[in-house]
Amino acid sequence: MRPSVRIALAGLVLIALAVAVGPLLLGVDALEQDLPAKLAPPFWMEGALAGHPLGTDQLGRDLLARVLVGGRTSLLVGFAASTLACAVGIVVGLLSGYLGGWIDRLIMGLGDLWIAFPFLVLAIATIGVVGSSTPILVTLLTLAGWVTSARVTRTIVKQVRGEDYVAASVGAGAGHLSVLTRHLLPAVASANLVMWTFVVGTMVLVEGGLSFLGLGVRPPAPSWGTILSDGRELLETAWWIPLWPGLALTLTVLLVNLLGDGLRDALDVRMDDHA
Amino acid sequence: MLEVQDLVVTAGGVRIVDGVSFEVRPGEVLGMVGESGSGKTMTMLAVAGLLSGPARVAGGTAVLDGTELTEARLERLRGRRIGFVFQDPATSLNPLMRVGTQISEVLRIHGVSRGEARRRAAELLEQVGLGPERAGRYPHELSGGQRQRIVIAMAIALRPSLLIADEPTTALDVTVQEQVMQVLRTAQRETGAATVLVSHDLGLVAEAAHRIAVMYAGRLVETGTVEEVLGAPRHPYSAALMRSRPRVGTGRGPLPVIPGYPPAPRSRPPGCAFHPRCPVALDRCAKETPPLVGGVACWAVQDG
Amino acid sequence: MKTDRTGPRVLRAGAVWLVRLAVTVLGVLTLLFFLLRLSGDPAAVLVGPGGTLEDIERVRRELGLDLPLWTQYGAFLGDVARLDFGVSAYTGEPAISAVLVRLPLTLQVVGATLALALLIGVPLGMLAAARARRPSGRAITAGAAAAQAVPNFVLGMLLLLVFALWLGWLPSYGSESPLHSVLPTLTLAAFTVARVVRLVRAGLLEALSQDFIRTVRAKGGSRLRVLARHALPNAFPPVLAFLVVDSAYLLSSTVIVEQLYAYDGIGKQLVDAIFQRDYPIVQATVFVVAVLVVAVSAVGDVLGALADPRVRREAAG
Repeated sequence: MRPSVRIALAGLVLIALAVAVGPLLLGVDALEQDLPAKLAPPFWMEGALAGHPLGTDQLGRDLLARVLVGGRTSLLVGFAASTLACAVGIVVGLLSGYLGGWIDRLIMGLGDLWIAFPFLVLAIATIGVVGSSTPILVTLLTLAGWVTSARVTRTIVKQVRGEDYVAASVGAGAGHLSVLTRHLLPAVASANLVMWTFVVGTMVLVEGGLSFLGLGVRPPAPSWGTILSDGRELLETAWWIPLWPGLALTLTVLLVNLLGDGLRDALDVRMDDHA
Repeated sequence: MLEVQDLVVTAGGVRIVDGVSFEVRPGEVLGMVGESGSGKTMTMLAVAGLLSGPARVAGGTAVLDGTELTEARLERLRGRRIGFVFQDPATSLNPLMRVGTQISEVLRIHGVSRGEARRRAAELLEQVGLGPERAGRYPHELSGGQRQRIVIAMAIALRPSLLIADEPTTALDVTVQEQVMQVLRTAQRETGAATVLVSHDLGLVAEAAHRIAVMYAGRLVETGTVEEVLGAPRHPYSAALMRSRPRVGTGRGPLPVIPGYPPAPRSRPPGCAFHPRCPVALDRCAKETPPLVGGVACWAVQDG
Repeated sequence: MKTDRTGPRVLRAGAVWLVRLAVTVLGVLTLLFFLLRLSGDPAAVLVGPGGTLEDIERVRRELGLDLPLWTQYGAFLGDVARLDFGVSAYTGEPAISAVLVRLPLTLQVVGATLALALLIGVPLGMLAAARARRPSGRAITAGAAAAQAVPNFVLGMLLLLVFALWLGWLPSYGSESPLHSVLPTLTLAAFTVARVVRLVRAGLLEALSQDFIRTVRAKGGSRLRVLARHALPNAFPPVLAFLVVDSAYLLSSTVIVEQLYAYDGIGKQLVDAIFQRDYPIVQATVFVVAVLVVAVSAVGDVLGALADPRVRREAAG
């Protein structure tokens, strides 16, 4: 494994562990308000409070606990949405590439329109109308993300279909389902693994953006985006509130992209959507 | 006149060209033959300084008309003193540039004025049998044979003293191969360039070349005139190569094949690389590499 | 060869463009229409919590909300065709003009971002490709990767804090002067420049690996000539195609950045309208954005065809 892939994997595992078990070890409630302790700065500054190493927010809630718990939401939404998006993309791409003809043209034409439209605008409009919740967020993100995976899958299916071993197995009387699952699915797996990695990063970002606008996860449950949004109002007085979730988001996306780049090179996947 | 001495090309620590020496006189055509992977193309790319990827010149010298071809000098000599015709005309032209511009570019690079370059490009087009009106075309608007004529025009534009043609007709339809070869031979005669024709096609080489150099596994195994090498090959590999060549009118029996495969550069056997496949191999062949003496590199010939 | 078929070609490209415009705009607006109608009673929202049932009933009749959904949809399509999206529930001005008034502010930021992306991104990308194996090239590539990972709302807050609140060099919130657009532009440009650097680098490396590059070297072409005159034009069409798709992403980012800087473009207007349930504004914004997206891809197609004679011929049919 290349060093960059190893570093990225190790970093991501650490982040995942931290948000998964960190809050339990810490034993501090991320929602507990403590108004006398509000807006405490982080540990190296004057006026820092013991027990709040990263400081507190405007309601006196502990930022370390909030960033850790918020990471659960951000990562969970990111993972769930990218997994669903890739699953949908694989199915659509397999069908499109395998069936060909007008179905293929229709699906890909739709994908072209879909990918060209600023998704956030649509998501904002939708959430504004139907309200926000984690399932709605995941659904919207899935709708936004399926196209790239479908395109990559379809391209590969088109290539593989023409190859001898697939033609031979069709000639030998293999059913459609068997050809799809035994030959085509494995062929698209590595490209979709790389795809999925990149999409996790995108999803975490988009969730952050929506929550930042106040259209994502509902308070008081924190996510990195909502903490950033809280911090926006108090940027001048308490800049450390957005600092931590901002760092966490940036680091996560950086590591995910690093992993994606490394996997792409290692698996020798040509990814026309992510130069 | 081109003189190559002990040329070594390595890629990733492996010697893909291993001590090759030969010379080509002005006006002479040297046919360089061998199976794919024998190092014949690498040898000529190395001479022109056009190696790419992991391949590097690791030793030896090439001298053209008394000037040693160093990396720094080659930058100025390529196009002017050295012309190169590549294998696949489908990919060797810039798809976004008119072919006339691509021909005049070689002249412009070497200091010819814009108007003069354009005029010369039109002449060159006629010289390779295309009308000057083709100058405005893009490569995709021309056939494979026409594109290769464009590449030839670029190669001879400044009357080079060394012309290298690497499998110039391999990628073309059989029907146009002869025409393109004719253009190349005429151009070669007119410029009087020392010419190296790299090919796996013995028939083509027999017609076009004066002398032949046979390569196997990165080394020269035999050199000589066309009559000598084709008529009475001395190296067992050359002999096998001549026998495996399809000929008109020799019946429909199976072609004799050389048993085994040429070794990959990484797993070349010690001694003579051909000895595991050689019908007349001696004990010595597995231990010592035979030098090229009297035009042949074979212990069985030299000792026997 | 060059001119004789220009007429029909332009007509055909124009027709394709119009169809695409219609399909995109119609599809997006239809989706939005049904979402809005399914989400609850716009009449109740318009009347507000203080209104009586009679008030609501009256508004519903006035707006035609008591008619069957398909009739409403038909009327809606008719309105769209006349660019009539209704009036803003708050200011009472026609929604489409309310959006168009704000559009220049957004276009200013987006245009400046794209200009920066080309002026800085292309040369840096060339440098990164020319020195791909050397430390300087790797540094540019790594820097671009890092810049792409910083979310725009995080970078935006950082720039706001440092340059507006702490140093006081630039205005913080609002859009009264051209200076107000500097921070939003820089925020958007960081990602876009990085993206262009990576695209140009990848495109150039791909182009440099092609056979014809060796031909140019065989002609005696210098490294600069190879890179600028041969590799760059060949890298342009793929880079352009990516940028067209990315422009959708850029417009999305504009929404967040405008909201952050309280910059009065159509992005902030959209978010505000959502929170105020000002649906005419929402619809008009989505319409304008859809038209913009199709326009960008049409411009991309034209530039792509100009850059590649092979596409030019295909387009001619």
